[in-house]
Amino acid sequence: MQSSQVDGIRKYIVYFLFIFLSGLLSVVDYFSNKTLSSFIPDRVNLISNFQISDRLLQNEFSNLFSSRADLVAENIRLKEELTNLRVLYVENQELQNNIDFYNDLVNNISDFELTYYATSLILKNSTDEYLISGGRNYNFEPGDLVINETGYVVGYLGEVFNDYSILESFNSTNFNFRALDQNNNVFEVNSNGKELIFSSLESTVSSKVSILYSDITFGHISKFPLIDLEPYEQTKLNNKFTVTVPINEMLTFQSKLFIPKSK
Amino acid sequence: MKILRVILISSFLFILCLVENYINTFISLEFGVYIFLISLIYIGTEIFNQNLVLPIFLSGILYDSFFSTYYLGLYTAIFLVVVVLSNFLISRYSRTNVIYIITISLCLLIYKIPIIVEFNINYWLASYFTSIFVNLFIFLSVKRVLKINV
Repeated sequence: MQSSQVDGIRKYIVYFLFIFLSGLLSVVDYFSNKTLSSFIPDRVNLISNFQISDRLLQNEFSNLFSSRADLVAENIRLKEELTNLRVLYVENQELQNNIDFYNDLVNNISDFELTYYATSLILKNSTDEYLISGGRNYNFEPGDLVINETGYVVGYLGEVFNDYSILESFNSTNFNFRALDQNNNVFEVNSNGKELIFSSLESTVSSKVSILYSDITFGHISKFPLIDLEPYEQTKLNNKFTVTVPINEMLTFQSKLFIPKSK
Repeated sequence: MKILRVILISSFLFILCLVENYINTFISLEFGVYIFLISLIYIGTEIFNQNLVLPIFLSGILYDSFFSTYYLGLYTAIFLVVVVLSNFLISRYSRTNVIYIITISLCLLIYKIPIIVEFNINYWLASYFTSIFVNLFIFLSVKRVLKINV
């Protein structure tokens, strides 16, 4: 009986050693300012490696058919042409989508001195943070704003890797943002996952707050609207405003996202 | 041969992890489908083996490196704890559905610990309870299918 209990504990020893090793890695990563955790992503282009090459799309499939070319030459030629047309169709659709995205954006922004890089959602990780395409290959940096097609800020880049970045969106655990209202009062924005909490940092806010903007004083690239607080209940305590806004919209694969960068 | 086996199992687990994240990006309902967690619990309850510690560790390191904003090793430790805990519960108590519910509940709690710590209870409680039953159903189905095949 006692022996089986000892055996029961023994079988976990290797697991406990590896848990201890994981803890040790976390400590080293903490003291090395995340050098360890960015070691692999800095050297591997994860997203680019998963893309299907154009060569494969255009030629390999037609090569499969070409073995029958001796029998029905005309049929093969038509199949090849069809494959090429399909590739062109997909390419055309992607370009058309991009044009639509940029058209929507152009109608809603005022700063044309910036370059707007289109980006898209890749996946959501276990802690509800979004991975988006584009990283150091587009000179993205942590803190860069991410806007939607209406020109409103939807978040900022938390971490940037070779070809993808992690977006700190409204429902992200680490979301922390500063913005100005129309009277240049500073507001701090935090998230509890389901709601955004806006708190004024100054006690001079007198009138009702409407639209909040990003600003270069906080290291943002330009002035972009964040949210219109007018429809929401605004509470005032000790001359400080607090507004709670429920997060209704989640990002999807169809979300149009842009990252403004200086030219 | 051993190295190849470790690489293959690690890659398979990492792909499962990736698929889980893709599925949960698509699902906008109040629950998550955690196929990677289910596979960890399956490893813990059905095929627990000391040789599997390295593939789980490696897949955790890959997940921490590529998809997590936390320090390297956090999710790795979580994955290993899930396997140990599920094995401990199943070895200590009988294999009843109640024990499976308790195992999945506790493992899911550990699996979601970064969210639980950072967000308030309203954010995760409803989805947590729904996820327990959804994932329990998947786990029992997978277990039954694999048992029939064996």
